[in-house]
Amino acid sequence: MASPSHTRTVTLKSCDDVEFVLDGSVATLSQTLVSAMAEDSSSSDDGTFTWCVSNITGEVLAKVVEFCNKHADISSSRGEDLKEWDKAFISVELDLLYDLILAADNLNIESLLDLTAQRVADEIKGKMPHEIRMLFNIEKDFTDEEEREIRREHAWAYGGESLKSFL
Amino acid sequence: MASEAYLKRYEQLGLEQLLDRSISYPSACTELSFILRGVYAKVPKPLQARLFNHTITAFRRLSCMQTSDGLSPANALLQAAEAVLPKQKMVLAVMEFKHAVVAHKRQSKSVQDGEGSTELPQDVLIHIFRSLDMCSLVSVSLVCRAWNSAASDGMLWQSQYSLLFGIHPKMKARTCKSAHEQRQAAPCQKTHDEDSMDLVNVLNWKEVFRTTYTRRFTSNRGYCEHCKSVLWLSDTSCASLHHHYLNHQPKIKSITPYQVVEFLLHKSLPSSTWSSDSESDPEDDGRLPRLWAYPRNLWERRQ
Repeated sequence: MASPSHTRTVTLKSCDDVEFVLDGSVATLSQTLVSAMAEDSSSSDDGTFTWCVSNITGEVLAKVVEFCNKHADISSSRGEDLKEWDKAFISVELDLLYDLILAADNLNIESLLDLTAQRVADEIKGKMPHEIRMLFNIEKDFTDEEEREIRREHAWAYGGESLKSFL
Repeated sequence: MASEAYLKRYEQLGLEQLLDRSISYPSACTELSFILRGVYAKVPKPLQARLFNHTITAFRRLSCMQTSDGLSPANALLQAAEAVLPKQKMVLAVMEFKHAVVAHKRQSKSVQDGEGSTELPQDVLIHIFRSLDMCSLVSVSLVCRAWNSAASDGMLWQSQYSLLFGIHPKMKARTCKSAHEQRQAAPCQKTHDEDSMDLVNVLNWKEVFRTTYTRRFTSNRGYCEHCKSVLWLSDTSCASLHHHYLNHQPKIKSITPYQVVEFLLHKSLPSSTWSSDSESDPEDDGRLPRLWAYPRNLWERRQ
């Protein structure tokens, strides 16, 4: 019988073979790891568990581990302090932010997903579609016809008075 | 009235910040042109100066707008400026406008296109869009196909709906029914959540939101009866909106730019214009029959 997940240690391996050793209690922040450990529990009794994350680099995984360590540490700061820490933590370049979102989604770490999503939402707020495209380097894949149609569909949202300027 | 009172009320509209964001620029610019026309001649000097400053700011900001969306509101503002500003200020404003148009044209020419697109999974996109305000939610649906389909998610529009209009009648009916069936008062919140999950699949929430919004509001401004202030409606996700609700009863009414002008001058909104909101409701449209009856009365009297 394997020991419960929070007493085991977990080794996370990035796609470029960088390894991180996590406390079992830290790893429980990731729903993906929790279910993987539950499935694995029959085979390993030595208290260690290794998990390879195929599409996350060591640089990004280091950030994720930093986040998990901070958030799992109950004795450390809570509430306001943690919020401050989160704010500093998430002040990263958009490229890294993008990788962090994918990592949070892949490992299913809810608090990290919330934090990253909020940051992206803050970037989006108050911007026009073309500004958002430029910011995130997104290609407009609408045809001209489609774009006109979608614009017409949404013209109501920009207020009756300025409606004309959007058509 | 003291000039500070005018200024304070004007600051409350937050036009400067609204002009600063390109998404609200067109509406804010249009509103400023209404205010300029309706208010300028009737208010004390400090507010006049502020209005002039903001007009200049609006023109400067035009050059940063990368699409033609801002051009026609800026034109309207120019016309208002020409109509009401004293000659010297008017000349300054016109010059600023001309510079802005040139800069704007140059800016629009240098539109870059990005290489390779960012593909986030659909559910992650929806997660991100959950904390957006209504106007930004519309913005993201214009970005690309993948974002458009994520932004059409029913849950997103349902929460926008309840934020602005309170609980939807259908949602309310369901909640009461299931609570009754279970004969339990306590887990009300839970049954509500489950029901709303159900309803997402039943109703096209984006459409429900759109029809309700366009029927209720004619502009981006609303007036909160509760705290007697004018609000910017599309900031629906901001926490400040929450205190405008009393027991889920929205106290926000749609107002026109003319009413914003009225608010600036008298700090009150004429009650007659308020009822126009309910009259436009197709359900309680009782005016037409009476109109039909009116000429016959006249006819009888003449005989």
